[in-house]
Amino acid sequence: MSDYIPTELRREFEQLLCSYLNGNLSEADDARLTQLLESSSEFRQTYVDQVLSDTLLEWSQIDYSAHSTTQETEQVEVATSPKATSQSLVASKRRLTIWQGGGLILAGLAAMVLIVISLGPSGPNDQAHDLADERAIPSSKQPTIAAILIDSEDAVLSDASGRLEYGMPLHAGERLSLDSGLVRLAFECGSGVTLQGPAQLEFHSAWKAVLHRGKLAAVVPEEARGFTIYTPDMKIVDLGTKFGAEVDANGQASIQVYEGEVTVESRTTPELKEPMLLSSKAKAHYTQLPNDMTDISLVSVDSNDRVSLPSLEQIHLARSGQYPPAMHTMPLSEALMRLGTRPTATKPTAPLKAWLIEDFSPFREDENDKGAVHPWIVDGKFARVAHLDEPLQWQGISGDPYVIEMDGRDPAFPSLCNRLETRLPKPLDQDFWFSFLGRYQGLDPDDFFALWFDNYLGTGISHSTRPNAGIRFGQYFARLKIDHQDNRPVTGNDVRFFLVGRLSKSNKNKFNQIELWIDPDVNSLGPPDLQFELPANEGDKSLSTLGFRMGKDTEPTDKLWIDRLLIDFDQRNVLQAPSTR
Amino acid sequence: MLWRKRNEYDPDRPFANWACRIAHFQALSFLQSRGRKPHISLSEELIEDLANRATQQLEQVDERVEQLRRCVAKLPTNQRTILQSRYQHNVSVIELAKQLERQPQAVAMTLYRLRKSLKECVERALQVEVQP
Repeated sequence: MSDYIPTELRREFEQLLCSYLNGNLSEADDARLTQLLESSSEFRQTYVDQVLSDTLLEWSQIDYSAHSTTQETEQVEVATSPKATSQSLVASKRRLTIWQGGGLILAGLAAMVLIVISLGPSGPNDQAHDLADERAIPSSKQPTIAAILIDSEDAVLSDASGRLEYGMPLHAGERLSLDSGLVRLAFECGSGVTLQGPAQLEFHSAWKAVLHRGKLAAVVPEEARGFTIYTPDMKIVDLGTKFGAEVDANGQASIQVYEGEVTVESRTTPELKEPMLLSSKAKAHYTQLPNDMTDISLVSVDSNDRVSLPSLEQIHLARSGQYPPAMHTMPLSEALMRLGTRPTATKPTAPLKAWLIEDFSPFREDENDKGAVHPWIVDGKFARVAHLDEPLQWQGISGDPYVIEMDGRDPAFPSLCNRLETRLPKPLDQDFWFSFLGRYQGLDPDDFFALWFDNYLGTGISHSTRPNAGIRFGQYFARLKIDHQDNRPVTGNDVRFFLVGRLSKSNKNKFNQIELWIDPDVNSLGPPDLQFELPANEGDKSLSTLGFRMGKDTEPTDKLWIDRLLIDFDQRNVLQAPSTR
Repeated sequence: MLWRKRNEYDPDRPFANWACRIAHFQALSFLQSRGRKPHISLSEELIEDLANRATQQLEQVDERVEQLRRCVAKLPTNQRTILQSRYQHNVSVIELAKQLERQPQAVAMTLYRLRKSLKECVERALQVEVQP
């Protein structure tokens, strides 16, 4: 069986291995590296690969100044690069120019200079070169890192074999083609960009990119003034601001300044070459389309922001090479072990009977007394098992003192915060009920949390297009797809609740109905507080994963506690109260 | 580090023998550096597993080195220059980071990715070689 290794754990391992090979591993890190090696066959193979590669590279007396002069069809792809097409309109001409010029030796001698130019932060001089100029004038630069992928939301690449990995570099000459979803990028110059699919963005340098199609928004700090986005016809030079650009299928562009100023000029019409100033305080829009001054919005899933940009914390970390920050995803069993000295065991209760029972208790035993099974994956940095002096309860229903405690979002971390998730023992394919006790402390009007059901697990998946129930923007909500929901207001910023839900199929084919009861009378459930129904041919035939997600705009100090999560096919079993043995 | 033993290489001896010796030293280094620390317990399985994996790769070491040269030659100049600084001129990652005006972690990660992509390039080339 192959290891399942969360991205964050892989990142931690890579950083430890780098430190090891550089000879600066602390004793604690050394112990952690050993622990990781013991835990994973893949890590052991990577360790051996890296150490032997390191050895051979040092020993084998390779002529590092020699470049292959043959027409190689296969290029070495730097790992973690996407399968994004290495567009070589620019890059191949550069390569050709160097080697046609017989500059082998010269290139070798100049390499150290070049590396500083091409990998170091580019200076404002870069701004002076127009894209068209660079196409015409042979350049000796080689593809360099233009940007780093910060995070993504339900992004689907046009190249089905491509991958998006947080922290991966995107090089000059590469194109990022999105069919749908959203990605956030940190350019090496310091700008942050959000791209929304369908879109195609070509990376030209740390300071420049070409938006061939789709929508983007950019935040440009003072240090990155001069950051430039090209469209097929236009050139947008930022003067320290936030702006959006959209290119339609015909290459026609619209531009909107949200804050500050940009200049816009034509790349194709000489008489319009004079730059035009757009300002958020005066003329904020420009469009090549007739009478189209609609706002350009790039909305993050379950966020109130009309333009969702990378945070400055994310950009800073990405540029320092430390993105994504270590997240310590772990099994719930490990989170339970971290409880340390456990308080005295609570009075035992007769076990609940349900298809799925999760009470987050270290004392729970299964029916055969073989010990508790907690097959959950926890975001260990922002979620933990906690002990409450006062268990969560509603009417006669009470949790035990152990709950899962989830924090809101740290702005330096990816925007999608799936704190707890699991693959179900078996897929659910018939009508079922669920219930859980919860408490949200620090609730603001822009906060969000949801229990979701899906068929997927993984980084960058919002699960927003599947059944969800929770709190969104000051309202309880239940939905089957994003923006297909029913709501009821929540009051207060410290809210305790007992939610009961039902997912059903109107024609026994697909889950197309959701109902939610909020703090119901457990002896007489009555009609649901919220309900939503899709057409009978929409929805999933079965559901095999579930989890809890916190919203992008939650605060790190927010706390969500969840306990006594039950799923069953009989309403009575999700409303049962514990009884003492 | 024990595997940085280029200066001890005797060009009259077959490379594979020398490389195996280095690999063996490397395994020993791993054991010694961790084994003497009381808070770390290394399992025998881990030791054996690492040694086996290293040995497998060194079975084709001459071909690997040849392919490694070709793969390095395919890299863009800036990436080859980083490798040259690190492996030929023995420039430390910290010093390299200063020269490049980048964070040491970022340079270390660049080297990591280069080693990884070169390994994959070598593997692809070896697979092509053995196909009929």
